[in-house]
Amino acid sequence: MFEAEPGLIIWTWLCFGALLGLLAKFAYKPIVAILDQRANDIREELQASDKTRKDAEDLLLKYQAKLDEGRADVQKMIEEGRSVGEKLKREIVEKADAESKALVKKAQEEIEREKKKALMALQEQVAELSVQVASKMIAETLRPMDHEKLIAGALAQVKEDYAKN
Amino acid sequence: MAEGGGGAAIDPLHHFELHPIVDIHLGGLDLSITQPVLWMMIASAVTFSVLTFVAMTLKKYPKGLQNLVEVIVNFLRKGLVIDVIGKEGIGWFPFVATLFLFVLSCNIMGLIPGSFTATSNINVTAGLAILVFFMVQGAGIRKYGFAGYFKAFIPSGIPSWILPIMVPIEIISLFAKPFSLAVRLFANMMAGHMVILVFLSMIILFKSIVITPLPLVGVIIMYAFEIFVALIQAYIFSVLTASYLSDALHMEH
Repeated sequence: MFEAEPGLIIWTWLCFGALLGLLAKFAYKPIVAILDQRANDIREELQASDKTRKDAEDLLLKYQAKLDEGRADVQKMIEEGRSVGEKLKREIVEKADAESKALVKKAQEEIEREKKKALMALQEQVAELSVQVASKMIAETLRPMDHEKLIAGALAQVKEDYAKN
Repeated sequence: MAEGGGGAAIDPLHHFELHPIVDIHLGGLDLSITQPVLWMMIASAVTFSVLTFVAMTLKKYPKGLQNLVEVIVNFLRKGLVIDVIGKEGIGWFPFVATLFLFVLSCNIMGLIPGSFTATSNINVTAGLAILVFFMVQGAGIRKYGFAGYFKAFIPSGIPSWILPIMVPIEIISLFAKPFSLAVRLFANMMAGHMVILVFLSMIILFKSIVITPLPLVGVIIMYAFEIFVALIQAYIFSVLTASYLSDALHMEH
């Protein structure tokens, strides 16, 4: 068992050498290659995913900035709209006020004019009535003093009626 | 292995005796194919077949046997060669990896009942250790040159009167490494098998149904332990080889 067996040592070298040569030629190269390939793939995938994440973060920041900008624009537009609306409202109210005032004034003038016209027509009518009354009185031979008294009475009556109306 | 006796005299060492299966004599050299040679051939053939089969049917997404082989190869390349020798030692990967696989397969094959553990013969382990010794010296000489490599054995700044002690120690240490490498593997593999054979011999020796379960439990425990030893010894053999190579390639440290 402990004897030196040079033949066995040589067989050991032969077996080991043959296995080393065969494995080196047929097995190690492809296995190591696929291991390296996988390591490279994993590294590349990790790098790609890092890049994608960074891009996504950049994009998110960009979109957030755009969103903020848009929000500010909308706020500005609302403010502008509000001020324009306020201005428009004020203008409309002012215009309506002026128009209503003008209308009232015009109506007053119209009333005044109509009133004058009516007064004049009344005066003419009174005068006519007075002439008719006078004619009647004359026909009944009135004395001058009665004539005047009648006219004055009629005028007073007209004034009173006018005041009532 | 299971042929542990049977006669009146039970000798566990009988199992380790070599018997020629095919007689070959070249000049004065006995190159007969004995049990360890046969089992070394079988172990080499199985290792080569498994690895080559995996290498020829490699898939991008590994599973089953490919997974196992990839884990072993990756461990040998990264955990053993690159981590111990360094990046420059990558060229030594086939040698160290084959050493591990060869020793492991010989150890595992020896666990098959009726087989023979090639590594339980000192000539086999010595053959491997001699090979490692020459490879390590060759690696050192190739890197530093003959004079440069052996000069590095004498550290600079050592007083000259220490040299007569230092040089023999260094020489002894140089040869002690392969010697320990050979003896460690041989002794571990033989001792484990001897214990199993002793337990089995006890069954035959006592011929008692009451006692039989005890050595049987011992055999089962030892068998499980032997699987662990087979792995650990293959690892120790190859990691020490990588370590010696690293020492030879980094003499400046």
